[in-house]
Amino acid sequence: MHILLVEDDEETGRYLIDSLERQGHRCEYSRDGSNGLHQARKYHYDVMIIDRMLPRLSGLDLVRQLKADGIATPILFLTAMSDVNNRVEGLQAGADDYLVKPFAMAELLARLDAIVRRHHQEPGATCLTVGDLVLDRLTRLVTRAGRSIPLRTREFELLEYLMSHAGQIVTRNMLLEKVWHYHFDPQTNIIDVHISRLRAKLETGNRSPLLHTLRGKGYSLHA
Amino acid sequence: MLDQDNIVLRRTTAFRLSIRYTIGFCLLSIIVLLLVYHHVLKGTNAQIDAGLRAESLTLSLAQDSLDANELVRIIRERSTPKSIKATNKGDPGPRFYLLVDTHGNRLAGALPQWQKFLRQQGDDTLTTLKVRTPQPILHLVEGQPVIWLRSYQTQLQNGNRLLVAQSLNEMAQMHKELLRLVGIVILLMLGVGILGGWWIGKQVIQSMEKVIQTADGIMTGDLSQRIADEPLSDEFALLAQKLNLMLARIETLMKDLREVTENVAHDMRTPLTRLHTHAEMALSQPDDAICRQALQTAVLQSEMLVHMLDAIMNIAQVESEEVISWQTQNLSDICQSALDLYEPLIEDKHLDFSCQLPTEPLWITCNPQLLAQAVGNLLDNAIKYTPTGGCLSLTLERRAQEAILTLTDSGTGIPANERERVMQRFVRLDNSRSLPGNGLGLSLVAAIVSRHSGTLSLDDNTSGNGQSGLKVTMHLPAS
Repeated sequence: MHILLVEDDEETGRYLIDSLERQGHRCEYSRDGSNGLHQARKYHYDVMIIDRMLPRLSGLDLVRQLKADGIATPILFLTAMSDVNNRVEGLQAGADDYLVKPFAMAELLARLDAIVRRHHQEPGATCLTVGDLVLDRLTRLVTRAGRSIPLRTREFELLEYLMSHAGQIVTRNMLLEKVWHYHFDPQTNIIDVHISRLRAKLETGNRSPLLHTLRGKGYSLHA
Repeated sequence: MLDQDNIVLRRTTAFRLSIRYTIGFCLLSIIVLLLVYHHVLKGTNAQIDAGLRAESLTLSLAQDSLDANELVRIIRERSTPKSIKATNKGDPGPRFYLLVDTHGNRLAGALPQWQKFLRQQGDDTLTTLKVRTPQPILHLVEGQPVIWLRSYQTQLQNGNRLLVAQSLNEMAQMHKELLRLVGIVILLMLGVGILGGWWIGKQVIQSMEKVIQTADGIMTGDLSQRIADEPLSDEFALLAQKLNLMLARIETLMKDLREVTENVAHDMRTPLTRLHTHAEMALSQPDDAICRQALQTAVLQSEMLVHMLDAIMNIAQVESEEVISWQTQNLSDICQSALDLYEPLIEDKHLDFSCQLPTEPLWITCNPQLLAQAVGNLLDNAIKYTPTGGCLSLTLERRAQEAILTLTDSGTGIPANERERVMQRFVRLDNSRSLPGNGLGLSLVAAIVSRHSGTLSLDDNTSGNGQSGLKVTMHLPAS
C-alpha cells in the first residue's frame, strides 16, 4: 500500500515508517499539517495516517480540508487524547477510524487493513461466507457445513463483524468499539472469553479451526 | 497602580462615589437656592414698587382734598430726621419725600440730591438711583455714604410734583445675608459629604484590609489562612464568608491534588521499576528466547502504566467541568449491554446470578459511555471479589424521580470504616492486593455518578441466606 503519514514527532514517525515498510508498504512522511495537505493533494495514496496535534495545520483541520476537497482516501486518525469527545471530533471531521496513543503496532496495522478493505468493499451483502461457515444477515441464521449453530444476539454480532473482516487481523479494542460500541477499555480479558465461547460453538464436532488468536495482535477468522 | 498593602483613601470607590454624589447634590442645591433667591428678589422689589405707588396715590389724594399747605406740612413732618428713622418694624427701610412746584423749587421734603431725581425722572415712573447722602441723613441709613434709592414721581393736580423714595440698602443687606446663608449651607453640605466619604472609605478599607492580609498570607503559600469572622452580617461579612468557603474548597482540592500526585508517583514506581529491570535484563541476555520474554514483560508493564494514566485522566476529565455530551437513554439498555459483556465471566465463575430490570423503559439523561463504564466497573469488581459459586444480583427500579441500581454480591465485602476511603483514588484494601487492578475503578464510578448528579453508597449485603458481601447502590435522577 502507498501510505501518507503526517506526524510531527520525528521519533514516532521514524518508528512507524520503519514498521510499515517492513510490512511491505510504501510510505511518505510529512511533519506538519500544511505540508501533509500539499502531499495529499498532489499524489494518490491508499490510506493516510494523520496525527491530531500538528504544527501549522491541526490534524482535525487537515482532515476537514481533505474531505472538503473531495479526497476520499481512507484516513486513520491518531490522537493522544483518550476522551470520548476528542475521538468523536475526529470521526465527525471525516476520519474513518481513530487510534489512541500509545498503541501497539499490531493494532495500527489491523485498523489500517480494516479501513482500506472497507473502502474497496461494496457493503450490504446479505450472506457472508468463510469456508463452510455461512452467516445470513436477513434470517440471522448461522450454519457450518449445513448444520445450524444457535448464537445469542451479541455472539451473532461478534461473528458478523469477524466474518465481514475475514482474513484480517481484528483487535480487542476494535471488537469492543464495533460490537459493544464501548469506547473505553474495561481492562479485563473479557473479549478473550467471548471469543473462546464463540470458537467453541463454531468448532463443535471437531471441525477445523476457523477463529484464530494471534498472540499480542488480536484475532483472525479464516478457513 | 494600587499599592496592595496601603489602600489610598481618596482612591477608594466609596470615597470617590461620596464626593461625586456630594458635588452633584451641591450643584443641584445651588441651582435651587439661586432660583429661590431670584424669586424673593423679584417679590420684594415688586412690593417696594407697590408701596411707593400707594404712598404717592394717598398723598396726591390728600392734596386734592386738603389745601396745598396741608400737604407741605405733612411732608415736612415726615421728613424730619426722626420720622425718617422711625420706620415701622417690617418696613423695608427709610422713606424720603419731596414736593416741588412747577418751577422745580423745593416746597418740602428731604430727598438727598433731589435735583438729580428731577433731572432724570419722568412723571408716573419708577427709577433707581445711586446717591450720596448729605450729612444729616448719613447716620440714618446705617452710616453708609452711598445709598440706593427707588423713587416714584407723580404730578399733582396743581402742577406740583411729588417724589416718594425708598432706600434699598436694607433690602440689599437682607439679600447679602441670604446669599451668605446659601454659601454656608453649601459649604456645610460639601464638608459633610467629604467627611462622610472619608468615613465610609475608611470603613471599607478597614473591612478590606483583613481580606487583603489573608490574600497576602495565601500568596506566600499558607493556604490555611482565613479571613477573620465578623459578628456583623453586612455585605463584607458575607463576602468574607464566601471567600472563606472558596478557600476551604481550594485547600481541599490542593490537598487532593498533592495526594493524587504522590499516589501517582508512588504507584508508577512499581511498574516503572519492573519495566526498567526487564529492559536491562533483555539487554544483558545473550539468549534470544529469554530476551524476548523479558521484552514482552516490559511491554506489559508499559501497558499497565498507560492504563493507569488513562484511568487518572478519565477521572480528572469526569470530575472537571469539561463539557460532555448528554443523551436520554434507557438505563435498562445500558445495564443489559454491560451484562452482555460480563456474562461469560459470571458463568465461568458459576455465580448464582439474578437480574431484575424494569419492564418499562427507564429514561435518564446521561453520557451512555461513562455510565456503561461505571456499571461495567461495578460488575467487574463484584465478579472479581465474589468467590466461585457465590451469589450476584442486579436490580434496577424506578422510585419517584429516581433510578435505583442495586448490585449485591456474596464476596468479601468492605469493612464499614473503609467504605468512604475506597472511593478515593489509588486506595486498595489489603485483601485485594493480589488481584489485578490499580485502585482507580471505584473512584471513576464515584466521579461518574457524581457527574450525573447521583449518589453512590456501599453497604453490607444483608439480604439472602446470611451471607455477607457488598451491596452497592447507585441513585440517579430519572428524566
